[in-house]
Amino acid sequence: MKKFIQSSTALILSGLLAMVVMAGCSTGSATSDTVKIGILHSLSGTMAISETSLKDVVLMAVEEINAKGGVLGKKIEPVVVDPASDWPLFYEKAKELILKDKVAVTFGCWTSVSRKSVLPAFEDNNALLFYPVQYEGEEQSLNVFYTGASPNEQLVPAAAYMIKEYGTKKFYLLGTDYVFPRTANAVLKAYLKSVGVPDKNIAEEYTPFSHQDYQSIVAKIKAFSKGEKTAIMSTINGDSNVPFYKEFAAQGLTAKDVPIMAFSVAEDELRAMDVKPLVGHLAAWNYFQSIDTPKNAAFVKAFKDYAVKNKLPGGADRVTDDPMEAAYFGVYAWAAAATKAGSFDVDKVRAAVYGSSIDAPGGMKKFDESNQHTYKPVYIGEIQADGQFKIVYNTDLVKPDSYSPLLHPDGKFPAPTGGPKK
Amino acid sequence: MKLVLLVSFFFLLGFFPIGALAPTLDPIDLQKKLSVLVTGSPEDRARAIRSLEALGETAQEKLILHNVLKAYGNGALYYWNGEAVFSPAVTQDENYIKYINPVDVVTGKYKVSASQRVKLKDVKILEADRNDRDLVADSLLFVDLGLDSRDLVLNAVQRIATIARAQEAVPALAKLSKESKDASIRFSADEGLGLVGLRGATDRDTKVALIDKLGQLPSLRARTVLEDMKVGETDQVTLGALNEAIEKIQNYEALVSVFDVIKSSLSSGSILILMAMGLAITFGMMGVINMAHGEMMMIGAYTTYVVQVAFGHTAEHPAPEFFLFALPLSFLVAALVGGLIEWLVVRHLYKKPIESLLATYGVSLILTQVIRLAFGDNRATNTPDWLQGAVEIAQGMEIPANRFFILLVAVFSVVLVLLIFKYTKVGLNMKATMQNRDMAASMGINTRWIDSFTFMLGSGIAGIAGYALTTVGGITPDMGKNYIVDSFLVVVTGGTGSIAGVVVSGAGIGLLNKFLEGTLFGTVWAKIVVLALVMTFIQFRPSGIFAPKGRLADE
Repeated sequence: MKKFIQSSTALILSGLLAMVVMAGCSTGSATSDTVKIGILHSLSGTMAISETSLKDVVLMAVEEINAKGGVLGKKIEPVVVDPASDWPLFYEKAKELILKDKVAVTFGCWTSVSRKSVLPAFEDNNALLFYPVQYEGEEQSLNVFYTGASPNEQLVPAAAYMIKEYGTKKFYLLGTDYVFPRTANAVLKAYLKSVGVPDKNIAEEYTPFSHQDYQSIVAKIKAFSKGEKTAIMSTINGDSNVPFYKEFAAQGLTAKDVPIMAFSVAEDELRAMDVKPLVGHLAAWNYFQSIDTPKNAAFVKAFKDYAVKNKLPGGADRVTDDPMEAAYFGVYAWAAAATKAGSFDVDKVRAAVYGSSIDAPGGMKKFDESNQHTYKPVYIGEIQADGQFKIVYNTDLVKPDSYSPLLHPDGKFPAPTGGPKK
Repeated sequence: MKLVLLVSFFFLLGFFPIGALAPTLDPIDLQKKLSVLVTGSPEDRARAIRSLEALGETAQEKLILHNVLKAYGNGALYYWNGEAVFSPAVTQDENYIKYINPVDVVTGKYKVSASQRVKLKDVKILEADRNDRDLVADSLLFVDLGLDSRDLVLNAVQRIATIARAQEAVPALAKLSKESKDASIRFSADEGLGLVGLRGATDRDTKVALIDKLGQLPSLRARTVLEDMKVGETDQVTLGALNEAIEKIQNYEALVSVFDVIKSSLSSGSILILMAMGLAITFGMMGVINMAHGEMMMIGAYTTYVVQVAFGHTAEHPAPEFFLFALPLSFLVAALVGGLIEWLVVRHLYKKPIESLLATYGVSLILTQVIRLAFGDNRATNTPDWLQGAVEIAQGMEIPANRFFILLVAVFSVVLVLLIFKYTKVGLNMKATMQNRDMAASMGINTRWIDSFTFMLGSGIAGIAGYALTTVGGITPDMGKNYIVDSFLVVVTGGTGSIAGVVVSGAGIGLLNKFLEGTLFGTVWAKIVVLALVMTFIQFRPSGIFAPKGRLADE
């Protein structure tokens, strides 16, 4: 019993200590001439590889806006927290940002499971989140603005492209086993069936997070692809991509035999891969670093300079990609909406975001009038030997779906969740 | 006099390449054809691309054409100063303005100089569109048939039979089928002739003969073609031949899939063995559950990465010797880190499995995050060329070089450990300590030192596992976590402290996993089923396959 008391005392003490330390980190010196925003991206754990760059680019946007005088005469004060790729911790950290730091808006999340985890925190307190990553759709919260693609802005156009340009007859849907790939593949399958691809020509397979050994799967792909033109629609996420592409090349498959259309591999992921065997494989996004406009060139240069100046790992070799662009213009969209509304009040800002246009690095984007999502152009790129994408297809702005008509053929969509407290 | 004439005639013949008689690669003519790519209409471009196939005679000239076509297909051909040029690389300056360094497509010499660059903006990039790229891909196959690189010729022979213009390749295929010195090329040329012939065949006898031939080979690539033929076929004789040929091919396919399962299970088994061996030693000998063992593997992998960076090895500037140095270094660094952990943490926790489990788990988290902060996530090594690609031992049966290498490393490590145990004094002392620590100590063995050594040895071997894994996957700070559970599974199944047990159960679990994955279940279910089977097995043999016997078992 004595031991128990001792250890619980120690536990409580260490808990208190942790709280003091955390408070010391995040409170900072808040004065009335600043406005706080939250940055909720994993800086450790399995998602750190992708999310760290988003934190960097949001901080860069903040620095730029502050240099021009801030928003409504106030400087932006970013509060960076690390939810450590731990989904329950995402919820805790989100609540901390909203209730303790009283941030005006939060920029954050990558995986859908993290977004689903923080949703109650934002909806219960009518707070605002800008979510910058393409995702599976089937969601519409009045407390979130989705600056990444919805399925009809990425998945469906990519499948249509493969059928039209490559004459693909068979599709191998390969993904990591969690909510985004499963829902994305449900949408893809519904689309493929709607255009007459028979069931026997669609294969579906999932691997656990961090799966490393793709020998059997590549052998299956080889067998499946015999005879007719086959493409792989890959929603593999995170570090599994490296062993998958390596195994693919090691078994003698090339982009000419079986092209891989990836939905979660961007420039930032290619930075860590041996790109030579990947040349010619594809990815579908709404932005590529290779978009050739002065505005984008300035953005790329600004980020590289920012990385060098702040001694970020990678320095001048850092690249920009789709989620980074979406995170970056999200900050500007919020700042513009707050300016237009003349207030940081969530309901007023939300109203001001609807239908607003934003001159993003990759070109104009527009927020939907009501469904929280963003009009974006679709880009399809082929991987080049330098780790960049050659753009082979692009569209005008596409109107985003929140719920996919493919999964709700009767047109009855659920009502949006969250919003002002009644 | 006659002799002199004859000699000088041969001399002349030898001196002037045969190219003087046949149409050869004239740089001016080549540039003229390439200039069409700049502004020509799609039809003109298609003609220009196809006209390249006919150029050149020798393998060397064909190689130039190969490079030109390949560059055009990849968007790496530039039009500058009125001619098409290569560039060894696209470079950029501090303002991210891009430059090329023009190189003559025929001679390979710098147009300006090695140091002088031309702004990419001032150059026209000759980029093939989708349609042109398909044409280029087909033309490349025709050009490649004339190369002297075995791999490229084989690749061309295997692919050319399925393209629309395959009929045009028949003379070249017939020539290769007779004259090539390489058995695989002859086989594929025969196969190609069969497939092309079948497409054009009209009368029954020719058809049946070709079908028989494809079944006889047996040609894996012919199966879908033959199956498609069956659909509209009414003639009984042809149908019979088709069925027979398809059956032969299917039998061979079954053989190939057995080979695939064995190959991949050996490969994943060897990784498991490498990982589990060190664990088996520490667990069996010291009763320590070392959750940081996976991190030793990670450290081996990062050591390999650091060595690569130190040697400056990249895809463009290969320095493949780094890979040889990385082997001993990854062992040493992992062993040293292991030694440090043993000294700081583990030595206080011998024979306390639960405490050691928690403490080493903490160590593993610390190591993961320290490495992440210091070196970053998801690094990749550029595997040396000789570990890329695969060796085809029979049609459809390929052994990838990297997988074979891992197998060799595993065998090497097992043999090394066995030799240490069997023939060295340290090994004998280790065995003694493992069997009865107190008795060994009273015999004058410094068990403290032996513990430390054993822990370092186990960590070092995990480091080698990490080194080997860089050839098949990426390097991330938490890569060890992917393997630690499987490794414990192997140790528990094999019997703690038994090297033979580790080898048998590692290979067995690898085989079981790959068999289930490849045939009955998907990846996720295969893992679950394997776990369930191991749990059931442990119920019946709690001490594993190679359980300690006699008095040792009582401990």
